[in-house]
Amino acid sequence: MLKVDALSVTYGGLLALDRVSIHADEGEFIAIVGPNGAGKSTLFKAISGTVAAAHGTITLEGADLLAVPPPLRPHRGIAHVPEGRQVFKSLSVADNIAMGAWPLAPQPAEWKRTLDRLHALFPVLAERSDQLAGTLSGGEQQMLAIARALAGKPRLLLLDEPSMGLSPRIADLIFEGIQTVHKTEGMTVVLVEQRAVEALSSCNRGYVLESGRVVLQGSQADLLGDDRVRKAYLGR
Amino acid sequence: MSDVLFIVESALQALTAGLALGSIYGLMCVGLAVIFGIMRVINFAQGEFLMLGMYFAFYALIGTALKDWTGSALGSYVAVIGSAPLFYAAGTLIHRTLMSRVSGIKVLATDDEGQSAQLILTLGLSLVLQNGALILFGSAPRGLGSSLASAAWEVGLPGDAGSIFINQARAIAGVLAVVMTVGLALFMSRTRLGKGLRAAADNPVAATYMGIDVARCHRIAFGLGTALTAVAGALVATYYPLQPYVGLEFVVIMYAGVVLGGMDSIKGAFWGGLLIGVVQQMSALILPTQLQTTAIFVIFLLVVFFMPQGLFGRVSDRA
Ligand SMILES: Nc1ncnc2c1ncn2[C@@H]1O[C@H](COP(=O)(O)OP(=O)(O)OP(=O)(O)O)[C@@H](O)[C@H]1O
Ligand SMILES: [Mg+2]
Repeated sequence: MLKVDALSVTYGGLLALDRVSIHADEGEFIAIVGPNGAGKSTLFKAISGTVAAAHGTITLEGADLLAVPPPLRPHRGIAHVPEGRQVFKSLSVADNIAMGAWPLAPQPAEWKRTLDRLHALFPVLAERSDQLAGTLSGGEQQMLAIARALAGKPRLLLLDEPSMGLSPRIADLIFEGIQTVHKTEGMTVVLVEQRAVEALSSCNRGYVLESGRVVLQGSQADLLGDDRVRKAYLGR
Repeated sequence: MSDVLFIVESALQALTAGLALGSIYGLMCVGLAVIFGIMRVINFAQGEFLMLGMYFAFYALIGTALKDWTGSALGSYVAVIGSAPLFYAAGTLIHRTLMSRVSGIKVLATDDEGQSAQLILTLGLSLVLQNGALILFGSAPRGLGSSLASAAWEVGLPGDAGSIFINQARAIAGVLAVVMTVGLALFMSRTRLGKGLRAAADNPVAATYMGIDVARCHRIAFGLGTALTAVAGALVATYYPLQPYVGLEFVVIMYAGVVLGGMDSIKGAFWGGLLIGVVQQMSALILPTQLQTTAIFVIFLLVVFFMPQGLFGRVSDRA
């Protein structure tokens, strides 16, 4: 489904990603963990095209993704929930969700079904429909960012630290939502998280990224059992 | 007639004149605000777009057979309507060839967000258009000669309070300006493309993640902004003489109106322009004509001093 091969990204002189290779098969749930500054967000930005790749290739379902202009990538079925949510603050909650369906331009009947589904997932968004997104709480903004991404019915969902800055209770709610969606819709999910326990316990496979390199990869059991992972990320 | 009634009559006279004029100012402000609000570019050539709109109306009416078919009154409104698609196309072309080089997502990451390059480019464009107009059209003031420019409707006031006169060309121009502004507001708030433009303005990177082509949104915004101000120019031409530097007379009003309205609010820009028109006309009751512009700036400074966010600016965003 998604294949990132020997991808390098530089910012000025700084090497943020150094020949990173990851892949995700159809329907898989992939977790990527790593410390601050490891290059996790940079990897997502390269997939979405908001930073340029210096070397390497990215393919989606066999097609060269780097040749696709960034605004056309969501039309290929990629949805990116960026770090820090990045909702459209001056637009209403309803309009934010509608923007997520930009590539589909759904008909009203179909759109109503999508909206009902998203409201069932995060009921608070239904209550806040007409409120400006900038006035939502952090947790609500995160739910909105995820709902907005799902509105486009993506086949690949990139989630960048959805629990950032949220209380454990709200973070759990978000993780549950993500797992429900993955189960019911069966899309491929790549989740970047600092909360390694939650991330690794939801995933099929995972990668550990440090200083721009993949230092470890494996199945959920491999990673949860690895001594280095337990010391550095699981705190036991 | 008593003095009080005379004052009421004069005030109502000035108010209606101010509302008509202010609506036209409002439309030109909206043109500037669309470009600033969506692209974050201050376009210093906006006054020249207005001037070119006026010349377009002049040549469409006088330079073609239009006037013979329709007469100068109706013909000038045909020219006004014709200016919209033409200037929209011209605006998108200017964006494609010039503005896109110094604006858009790629410059947001640079130190000054591309503002110096934008200033130099739009200021340069303004000078080129001014002097180009001087060479092409000459410096002699011209006019459309619409019969409505010197015709007025007389509206009787209740009782024996006298009556007020409404200049026909200005009133029609004011109504058309309001219609156009309402149309734009509906487009921005109700349609899919309008919402996409607002999303691209709000957060261009997130908009890209939605699959919205921000460069295209900017092109549309520049086309719309150019067209709205040029249409306002064509409307002004129905009652006001034109010469190559006429843009300078209005550009100050446009900036003041947009700042009054809170910089990135399209509705606010209209109210800002309307306020300027009303203040300008009402101040004529008590101030000599030379001081009308001063009155505008007094109001401007008061608003900026007491409401630095403008009349419609958002006070703060939640992070
Ligand atoms: N726009 C930029 N310009 C220069 N350097 C950058 C830029 N964006 C990121 N970097 C650098 O690239 C490296 C990787 O950053 P990135 O944001 O991808 O890390 P991350 O793994 O997402 O970290 P976090 O967990 O804190 O979000 C960091 O050293 C960062 O300072
Ligand atoms: Mg990050």
